[in-house]
Amino acid sequence: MSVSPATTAPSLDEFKAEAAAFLDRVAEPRTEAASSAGERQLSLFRGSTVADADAARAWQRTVFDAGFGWIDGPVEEGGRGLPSRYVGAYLQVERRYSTPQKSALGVSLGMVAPTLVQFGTAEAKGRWAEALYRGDAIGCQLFSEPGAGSDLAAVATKAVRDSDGWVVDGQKVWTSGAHYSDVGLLLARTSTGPRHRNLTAFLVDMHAPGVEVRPLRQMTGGADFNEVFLDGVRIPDSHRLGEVDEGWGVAMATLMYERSAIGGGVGGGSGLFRMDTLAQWLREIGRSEDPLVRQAYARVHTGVSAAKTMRARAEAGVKAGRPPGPEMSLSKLALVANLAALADLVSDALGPRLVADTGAAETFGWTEYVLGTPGMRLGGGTDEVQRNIIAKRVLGLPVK
Amino acid sequence: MTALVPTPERLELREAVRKSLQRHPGPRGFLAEQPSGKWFDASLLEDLNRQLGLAELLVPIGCGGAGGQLADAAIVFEELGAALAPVPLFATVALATSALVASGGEAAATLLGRIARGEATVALADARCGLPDDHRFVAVPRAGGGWLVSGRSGVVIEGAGADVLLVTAETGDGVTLFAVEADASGVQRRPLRTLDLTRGIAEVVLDGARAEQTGASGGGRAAADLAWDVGSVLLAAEQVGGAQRVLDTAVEYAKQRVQFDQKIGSFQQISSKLVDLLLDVEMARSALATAVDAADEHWEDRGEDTRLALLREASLAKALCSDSYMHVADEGLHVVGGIGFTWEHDAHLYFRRAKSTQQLLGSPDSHRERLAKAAGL
Repeated sequence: MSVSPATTAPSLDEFKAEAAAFLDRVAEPRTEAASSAGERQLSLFRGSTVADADAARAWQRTVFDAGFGWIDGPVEEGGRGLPSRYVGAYLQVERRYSTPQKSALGVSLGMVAPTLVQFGTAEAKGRWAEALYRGDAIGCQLFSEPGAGSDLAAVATKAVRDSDGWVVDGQKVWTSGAHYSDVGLLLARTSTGPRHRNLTAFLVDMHAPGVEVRPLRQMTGGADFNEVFLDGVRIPDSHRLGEVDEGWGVAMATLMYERSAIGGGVGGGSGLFRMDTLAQWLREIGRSEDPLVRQAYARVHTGVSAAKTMRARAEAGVKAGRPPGPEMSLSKLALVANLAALADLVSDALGPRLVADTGAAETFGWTEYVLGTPGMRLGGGTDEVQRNIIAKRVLGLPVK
Repeated sequence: MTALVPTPERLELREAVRKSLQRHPGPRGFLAEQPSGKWFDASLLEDLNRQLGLAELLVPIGCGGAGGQLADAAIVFEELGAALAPVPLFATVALATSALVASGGEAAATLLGRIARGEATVALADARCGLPDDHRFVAVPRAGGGWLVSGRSGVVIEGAGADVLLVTAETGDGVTLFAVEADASGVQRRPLRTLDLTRGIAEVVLDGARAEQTGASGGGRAAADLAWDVGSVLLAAEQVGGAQRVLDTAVEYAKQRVQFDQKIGSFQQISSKLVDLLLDVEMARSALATAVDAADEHWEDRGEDTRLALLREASLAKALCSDSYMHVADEGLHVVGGIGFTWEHDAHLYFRRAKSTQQLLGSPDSHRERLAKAAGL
């Protein structure tokens, strides 16, 4: 590590100036052309390749070594030790620059790393925390199984004690990024005790003997997820997260990180819901005069705007000192409704041009998007599971 | 953004309005089953005006009013909508006050003073409420000063009992806003049978009725348009209040009602439906918050940019809140089941209000078209 921890915190303005100076050195300013419709990402699931992951690693290393890779992490574990508002400040500056695609690190930095920091032993954190934040290691999530989808507590992968560690056997599925990951956040059954008190969380070395990763091809045609087979894989006890048989709480914490990432980033982040860009696209393909297309456009506009305000209300409520409400789960339901509305708009606008590739620009490519929408309803907890949670926790209904 | 989280003062205002409403019998005794025009509760109106000063809420301080913000008014109309309060405040506070503030001038200020003192309720007769063919007034100068207005409007919200009618009429200099005293000769009003039994609507016919110009010549269209946009925002507030009340009622019912030996709220058919209705309400409330902020920004600076933003956000909110309320009123009724289809249960009163407000001041489709245009499509 080339940057020594700050002894006195810079002001936010100093910090932003420092970030801008760094980014001026290593990146180009974002231009209108670079963010125009031509480069728009139309697929909701664009799994990263090993090459994407390598590029992301290299960029994360540069960012980390300049002191912006783990801004709010504890100094003794390799972080910068600044309050989390500095993270937002950095991202605000970074958005002004054209930087490499970082989605290969999404699960690693958004879910695995924070869970490790919250629950890991000193030894596990020493081994993995800085490595994850520096991009030297990438983490994936090993939760879902063929027999444990919505019912995550039904995890059947077993971890059995063996001298100073554990031996794991089982099968995981829907693992993003397993093919380029170095470490997996694993949920495994460790006892025959009651439901929710028989699971334990671990970090497993994805390069260990007995770990096999196979690509899983999804309905879009791409293979952006994996199946992971675990056959007699050994894990040292120091790489256990939280207490034995208390893995359910660890998993819940991870899923909270995931839900906030899904409810917040997707769509807005990839620019699909930029209403001015959509209006321009509809004019370009000659469909902006059709009254039905205009209605469909306005429906997307309405939903996207209201969902954005709903999040802002939630954040303003938290700032005003209220306990966090149901907005995260509601936000996910709002997001999928908006994705569906956008699919309707795209379908109305393109008609036959969505059905067969005529070669015209910005037309058939939308099939990637349309085929991805069912996955968004499933990911991060199905809509049905979200509704059960909201019915119980928010409305107080006697849902079993 | 100010309307995202209600301030403590606004929560107090909400509580005060709620308490006043609870002291009165509600809409049941005033259902306009016959077109009598007596659909409102005069004592409730007096209570709200005297104790809470609702009539003067949006009247500028310079005209003797409270100089409140749209965010205050939105809280009030949410509560009035939740209770289906039978009072003719929407026409006076939301529509007429906005039109008069937009108009400016001495005559408008005088009328605003009468509103603030609770001396006059005012209704707005303008083409944008009904269908285009349904509204036409012509004004001619009267020998000896003032104007004479003739014509007809088919749909005037809360028009039957209003003391003053604000009318947009053609003149040689374009559409201009006029005030007509309802008891003047040549004024005929006919209360209409209404889908929404808790709000009066009248046909107004003027035959050479004496009128006073209230605003610049040719300024009537802009004044009435602002009134409709502010009115759309406050009608959206009514819709959010009504939808929330229907949802709360349905949720409580689902926790009590037993069928097949279980509380019906434990059935996923019911619980999932109620979550969808919660999402409807929260999305509507969010669109409303943005629209209220846009309205207040324009109310403050009167600029062209904020006017366009208000147009966009008012249409967005009116479209979304109308559809949400209608969906909640319909599905909420179904959670309650057969009893919700009876005359005695209030579900139909909310259903009627939802359907009626969905179509008044522009249908959801028309507002979506307006939004698309405003967004540059």
